[in-house]
Formats: sequence, structure tokens, C-alpha cells
Amino acid sequence: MSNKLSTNEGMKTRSRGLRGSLAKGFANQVTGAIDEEEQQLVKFHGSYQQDNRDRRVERERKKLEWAYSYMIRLRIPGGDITSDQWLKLQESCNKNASGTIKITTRQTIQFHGVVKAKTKPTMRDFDDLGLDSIAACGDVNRNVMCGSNPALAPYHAEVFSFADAISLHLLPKTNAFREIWLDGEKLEDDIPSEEDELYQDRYLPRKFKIGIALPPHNESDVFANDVGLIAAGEGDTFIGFNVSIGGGLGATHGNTATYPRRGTLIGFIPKEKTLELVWQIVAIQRDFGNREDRKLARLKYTLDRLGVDWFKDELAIRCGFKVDPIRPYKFKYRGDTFGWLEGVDGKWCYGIFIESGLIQDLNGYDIKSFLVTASKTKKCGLRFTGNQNIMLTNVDVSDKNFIEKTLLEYGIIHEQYSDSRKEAISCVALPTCPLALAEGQRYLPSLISKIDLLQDRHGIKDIPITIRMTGCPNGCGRPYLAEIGFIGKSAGKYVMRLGGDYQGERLNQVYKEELDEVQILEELDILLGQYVKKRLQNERFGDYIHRMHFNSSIFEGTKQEL
Amino acid sequence: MLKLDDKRFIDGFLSRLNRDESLWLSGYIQGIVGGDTPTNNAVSSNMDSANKISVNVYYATETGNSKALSLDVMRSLKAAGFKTKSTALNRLKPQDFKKDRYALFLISTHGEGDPPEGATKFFQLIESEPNTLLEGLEYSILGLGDSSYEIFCGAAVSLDDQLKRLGAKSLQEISLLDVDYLSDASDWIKKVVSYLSLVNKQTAVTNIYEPDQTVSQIKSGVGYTRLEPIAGYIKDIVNLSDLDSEKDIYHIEIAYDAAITYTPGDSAGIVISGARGSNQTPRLYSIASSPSFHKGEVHLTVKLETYQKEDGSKGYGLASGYLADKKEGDEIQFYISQNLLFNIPNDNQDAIMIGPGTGVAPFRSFIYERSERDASGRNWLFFGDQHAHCDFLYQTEWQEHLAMETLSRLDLAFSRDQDKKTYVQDRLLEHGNELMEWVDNGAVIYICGSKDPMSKDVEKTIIKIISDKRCISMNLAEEFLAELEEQGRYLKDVY
Repeated sequence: MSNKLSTNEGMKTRSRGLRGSLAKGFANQVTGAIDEEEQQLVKFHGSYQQDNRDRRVERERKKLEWAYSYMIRLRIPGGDITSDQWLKLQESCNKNASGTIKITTRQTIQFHGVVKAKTKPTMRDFDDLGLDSIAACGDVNRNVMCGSNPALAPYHAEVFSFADAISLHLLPKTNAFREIWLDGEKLEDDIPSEEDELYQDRYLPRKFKIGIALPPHNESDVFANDVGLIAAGEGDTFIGFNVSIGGGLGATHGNTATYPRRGTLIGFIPKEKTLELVWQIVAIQRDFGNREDRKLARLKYTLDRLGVDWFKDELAIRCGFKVDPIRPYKFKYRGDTFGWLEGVDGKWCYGIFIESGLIQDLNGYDIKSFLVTASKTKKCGLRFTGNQNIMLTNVDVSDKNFIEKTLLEYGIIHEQYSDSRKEAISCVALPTCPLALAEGQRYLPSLISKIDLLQDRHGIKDIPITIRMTGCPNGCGRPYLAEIGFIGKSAGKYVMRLGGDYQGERLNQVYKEELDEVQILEELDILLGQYVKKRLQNERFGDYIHRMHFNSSIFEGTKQEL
Repeated sequence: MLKLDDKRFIDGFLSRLNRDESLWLSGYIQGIVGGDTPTNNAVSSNMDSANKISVNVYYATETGNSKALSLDVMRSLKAAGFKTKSTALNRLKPQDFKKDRYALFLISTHGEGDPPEGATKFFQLIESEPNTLLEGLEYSILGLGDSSYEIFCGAAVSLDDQLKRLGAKSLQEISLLDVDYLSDASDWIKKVVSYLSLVNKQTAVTNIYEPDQTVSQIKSGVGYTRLEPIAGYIKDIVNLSDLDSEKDIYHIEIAYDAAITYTPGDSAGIVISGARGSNQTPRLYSIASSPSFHKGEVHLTVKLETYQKEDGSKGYGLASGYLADKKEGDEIQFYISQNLLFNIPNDNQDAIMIGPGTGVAPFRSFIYERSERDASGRNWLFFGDQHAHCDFLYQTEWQEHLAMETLSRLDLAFSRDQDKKTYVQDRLLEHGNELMEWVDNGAVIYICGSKDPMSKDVEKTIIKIISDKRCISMNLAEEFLAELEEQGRYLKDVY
């Protein structure tokens, strides 16, 4: 390991509180792009520069540069917004972006295809709605997730409030966002950055993710987060969280030093001390995380390098208190519950399946139009789930009929889809993600149709299998925690990983490298056939594969070959 | 003795002349000096000149042809012993002819029977003059036009009517010439000069005008009129407009073998084969290529014109539709249409080029040409259209020129990329100080593109900038710009 700081480190300290030259870069009309340093910096503002890779050749021929645009991701802790916010967001997306809002795997939404000239109007629309995109990407704490289903516990609302509280507690203290996007003020070079006790002028070595779960539903995949918080109660009273640290899924093809890691449970923390504990975990990662090699900079590597015991000691010293022993908990599933759910205060929720999280009218399943119509009536709120779905919230009993009628009117009938499809997750990938090596959301739906046929033929269509696909090994769609994980390797070819469990407590392992669709289906056909014959009673597909094919237990995350 | 600007202009102008033109010019200037200041004996060394009869030549020109022709007319007049000078009608008033005994007019017609842009005011003024204003004036008119237009030589005919109404006498019947005018022009000149010589008992006419490529700037013959086009083939054709654009603008590269030449600023006329009749109005496109950089090629930037037919279906412009349909390898008939008034600046002069939409075409030619010549003058381009992401014509080429510093500045106005529509003139106004610095440094201002409203709005803005920055009235600012125009430092190619 060299001692030279990675180039991103200089960018952060030079940025004067995340300002850098962004204002100038976005004012330059000669190009729709921004320079390399600005591209790194704008992530902290919730945006990635992308280009439509499908159109590069054609654009070059037209003497136009690549079709650069910006993905802008909102910060919506817990994924909760009002119907009015939704209406205006959809309007803004129609006007300034591609028109199709994407629900992410972290309970927020993002716009794609925002061209340079539309970035400021988009940010202004967000601000008008009391929303922002600060720290939705970048080397800071990202959007905080929390189990969406209010029926999980009587204290759901109290747990849910932690998503927002943690997000605010860990927000970068800078006025850069307002200056660059909202006021249009000219930025002077000598403005000092605001005092930021947590991030200082260095920010974190790498992104940082926090998720909260309410057992038995592991919707936020707590063990994939840098900090996973598992809510624990006594009777109807919420008391605190079991804490997992060092989860993280990203890896790099061909770099054996990188690996996905399942989080390690370090103990229980009473709810009053949670904010302080989380803050100190982030601070330790700030001080000890690897700033030389970004590929080895997540908390999981810090933890494996310095040891879990060392980390717990350091944490206790900094906090002035120790964590308590782990409380018992039990996860049973990760997928969403669709249809009506009774919430609190006599209000109802309705879970809606949204394939790949794309809000579009497609094949008679007109979710985009439905949400506009439903939002106009103000009879519901909206909550995005960790599975890229939507839950209508706060519905009065008297409005249930209306909602049902409207759902039917727009063809929103989730029963037509298989359970496996409804639990599947895919990332954006091609054509806009610069990291993508293969297709993601554009391809997975058609592959699932074929897997559906296989499950049907083997008589197991009622046994859901979690299937997740990403276009690269970065892990946005958490494919390492799926029963069947597909990770893009090259055009049309995927690494197939098998043996994860249904509830997300065990990482899967590489089964075969570089399979095309025909090979994938051949392999699955054989494996599903054997599964039907040899499975134990109630044994899930992932558990069966793990028992039959992988000897080493990786229940607790350890380094492994990708 | 001369102001720096004037000196710079004259040096630049002289550097463009060949030896014959320079010789002619020296005589011309002597003629002017001698003629206008007869009391100044020190400079009036030619004793004869005071006795010579003046025959002045006036022209109204859109592309410079009638101006160039005026030089040839003057050569014949001088050879026949007359004193002569040529003046553009642009800033004259009808009363100005009262001091003339003879006046010859070379009048181009523009569009549907209209006078050239610059002479519009003169043509308006003359209509309201009293009937007897020009009694005693003898004149003749040579009209230049294109018979494929519905109104042929409309401006020349209307001037003839007005001069008659004002009491002037035609010394030679009006002559209306089509695009192949060069041979007919010599007939008219011959007749006029013979008549004048006869009535004034001048020496016999010895030097009758003949079209002469070595002296005249006007090119003629194969490849230079719509009557004698040459064949090229489509080397490349691409729709530059991307998805989301409301337009279809094509970049078309025509390769040819013929030994024709063009200069940046010239246009190409497209002859539509297979169209009904041969009398189709030709469509001229400003050439977007550089003769030095894109050797053997003519590039065009063509907007596909659309309209709604009576039955509601979509119709396409005759020429643009014809071009847009062309495929690589297809043959195409075209000719070079000179624009002697829209010239590339001298290498050491700065250029401010305002060309939104397809108006950017000649500036692509200018910038490649100047780049190829290693011209030291700076290039400042103003471009605009609707949306940056889909209407940014030649974006990657400008980016390269900026990187190579063959383009010094690029200011952009994409009207529909923000709520408040923004146009090139808004960018001009934002950079008024720098603009005046460039002008003070001798820059040439060019405008190309739609006449209305673009070129008019841009002109108003330039006048406002001059007025603001110079702290002078709008009228004086207008005068200032008119002077730049006379010096050849404010040039327009608008349509």
C-alpha cells in the first residue's frame, strides 16, 4: 500500500465545503459535461454525471458530444413523502428529466437524464417541496433506510423517526447546496468552509450506509449496511437497537483484495444513546478508514484490518459507554407485503409492486398515471420500500374502496406476477450507469419470465426465490445477498452466485462465472429439478444450494473470492 | 494623418488587391481627389481632369456583383476619357443626384423584386420625391436579377419608373440581365459609353469592356451560375439535430473534381434535377467548408423546411427536401455563387461572428480557413439555437477549435433551455465591454442567419452597445455602425 492519498482526498479538502468549481462547471454551456474533479464533487450533492451509452456512436456522427446528463437522487430518510410532493416531483421529472422516476434500493427516488441546463430548476423544485439531494451520494452518510411496514410493531412510528433523526445528525454542515443550486450567488474563492465537527474538511474515505430493520422483516438488508440497526422492543415498547457494523457488498472483478462482507453484530444500544453511537462509528471510520485506496476504503475493510475487538474498544472509549449484549431477534423475510395492511390510528396502507422501481405506464400496468390520480385526491401518502416498491400510506377506511377501484382502473393488479418477480431487484446499469458491464433493469424482467416458466415446470412457482441482478460488481442491487445473484461481467454475461438465504443473513457464493442466458437457464433447470427432489421440508432454494454445494460456512461475513 | 482604424482598414484592403487592381485604384483615387477638390492645385496635377466630364456610377448590391461590375464600368468610362466614381446607394438621398449630369445605375434585385437590404431606405425615399426633382439628369440602368424568380429585376424596373417620374431622361434603355449577365453587360456598357462619347465628342472609344477574369473579381462560366452547374457527389450526409429537436438540420458534404474555386463566405446553389421545368428558383446555401482545409469539397448546413399542405399532411421545402433525401454517393448538380460582400477578414484582423442556427455555416468555413492559414486574428463566435443537448450544431468541432485556440471565444444562447428565452443578442449585451474592445482593435463584425427578427435584433443590440459604451446618442451610434459597414467591418449575410 502506498502512502499517497487517493485523488479524491485532495478534491474533498480543496472543495471549500463541497463548493469546488461546481457553479462554474454547471454554467459552462460549451459542454454538457463537467470536469473530473467536479464529477467527483457533485456526488456529494446527490448527482452523478452520466451519458447515454447507447447513443455515443450516433452522437459522435452528429458532431455532438456524448449525451451527457445528470442522475439526481433525493435524500428521503425512510422513503416517506406526501401525495402533494409526489405530484410536483412527477411534474418536475416530466419537465426536467426523462419522465420516469426510479425508486432506488435505498428507499429514495432518482431522476435520470437531467441535462445541464435543467439541473438548477430541478434542485429548485426539490427545495420548493422541502426536499433536497444533499449527501444522497458521495463519501458521506447516504439515505437512511427503515422498514416501511407500520404493521410490524406498535412502535413502528418511533423507530421510523430514527431514519430522519440519524440523517440530520450526520448531514454535512455546508451551505454549498443552497449557494450553488438555489441562490445562484457568485461564489468567492475565499469563503471559508463552515465548521463541520464530524466530516471536518476530509469527509469520509468512502460512502457510508445505514439501515434500520424491524424484525421479522429485513427489508433494508441490515447486514449490507455499514451500520445496521435492528429494532428491539419489550412488549409494545421500543427499547433500542441491535447494532451490526461493517456490512458492504461492493467488490471489483479481478481484485482479490475486495470482497462483499456481511455486517458483524457488536451488541445492543438503548435508543437514547443511538445517535451518539452511530456518530462515533462514523467518526472512527473517518479517522481510520483507508484514504489511499478507494477500493479498500469502506468500513468493512477498516474493521477486518483493525479487528472487531479493537473497533469495539475504540468505540467504547470515544462514547464513554459500552454496548450491551445482543438481544434475541428473528428475521424471516425481506420482500414486501402487497395489498392492504392495517397501520396505526385506524389508518391503512397498500403495498404496490413496481417492477425494477420504474414509475412508468407499461403493458397496461399504468403505475405512473395511477400515482398522479391517487395523489391528486390527497387520500394517501407515499412510502418507498427497500425493494423498489411503493406503499400508499395514511388511507382512511372510508377511502379504501376508492383506492381499490382506482388501482383496478389503471391495471395495478399484483396478483398477475409471480412471487419471485415481486421480490426481484435490479439496478439501473445500461445505458446510463458508467460502471455497467452488462444490462440490469432493462433485462431482468425478461429473464424472470423464463425463470418463472422453469419454476412452473418444476411445480414450485409458489416458493419465492430472491433474484437480484446488477450490471457490475459494485452491488447497488445487493445481489450478494440474494438466493440467485447475477453480477454483470460483460455484455450478456453474468457471474451467477447462489446459496444466499431468503432473509438476508448469509452471503451467496460464486457458482459459475460468465454465463449467458442459455447457460443460466440450463444451470437453473438442473438445479431446480434437483432441489424439488432432494430438498428438506420447507427448505428454501438458497439454503438447499448452500447445504449441497458449499461446504464452508459464510454465515458471518469473511473474505472470499468473488 | 490617418486614424489608426482607417489605416488598418486600408492596409487590409490593399493587401487583398492584385497588381492590376492596385494600379486601377491609384488612378481612381487620383480621380476622386482631382474631381472633388478642383481648387486644390497642389494635388490636381492632371490638368485635363478639370475639363473632363463626370459620369458617376451607382450601385445597389446584395452579394457584391453589381459593385464589382461597377469597377469594370468605370474602367471603360475612364478609358473613354470620362471622370468617374462609384458609390453605393445605401446612404444616398435622391436629391444627391441633382448635381449630376449623367448617372449610371447597377441595381441588383433581391428576393421577390426587392432592392438589396442596404438600399431599402433609398428606394423608400425616392417614392415620395416631387415630380420635377431630377429634371436635367440623364441616366441608364443595368438591372441584375434571376429570371427564375417571379418578379425579374423588380428593383431595377421600379427605379427606372421613379427616375422617369422625377423628370430624368433615359440615355439608354434599361437593360435587364439574368444570372449569365457577363456577356450582356458588355453590350450595355458599350452602348452607354459610345453614346456618351458621341454626345460629348470625346475621343473614340478604344477600350471597350470585355469580361476579363484577370481583372474582374467576378467569376463566370462553368460552375459559377445556375445555367452551368457542375456535378459533384454526396460524400457524406448526416442529420445534425438529435432526438428532442424540433428541427432537422443536415450537414452535407459534396465532393467534386471540377477546377472551380470558392472563397469563405460564398454560397452554393443547388440545381434540382428532375424538378418540373428548368426555371426553378435556385436555393443558395452559405458554404460551411473551408477551401483550404476541406480541399475539393463543399459543405452545406441545410435546414429541412416543412409546411402543412392543404390536406393537412406535411410538406417539405423543394430544395431542402431534395437535399435531405440524398444518400452517400448520389450525384448532385451545384454551382458557386460568389458573395463578394461577405469576405473572410484579413489574417491579422479579429472576427466577431454572430451566427445562430444555420447562420453558423460560413463561420465554420471562416474558422477552418483561418486555422489552416495560421491567421493571427482572434475568432469570437456567437451561436444559438433552441436546446444545447440536441441543437448544438458542430459542437465537437467548436470544442476542438477552442482547445486548439483557433476559436478564442464561444458564447452560446439556447433559447429554450431556461424559462426566460435567451438569444445571441442577450449574450452580446452581456459582453458589451469586450465587444467594444474588439471593435476598437479593428475587429470585423459578421452576422449570418435569419434577417427577421434575428439580424435586426442583433443590429439594434450592437447599436445600443456602441451608444452605451461610447456614451453617444443612438443616432450617432447608428452612424458609427454605418461607418464600420462602409469600411467593410460590419458585414451581413442574412436571409
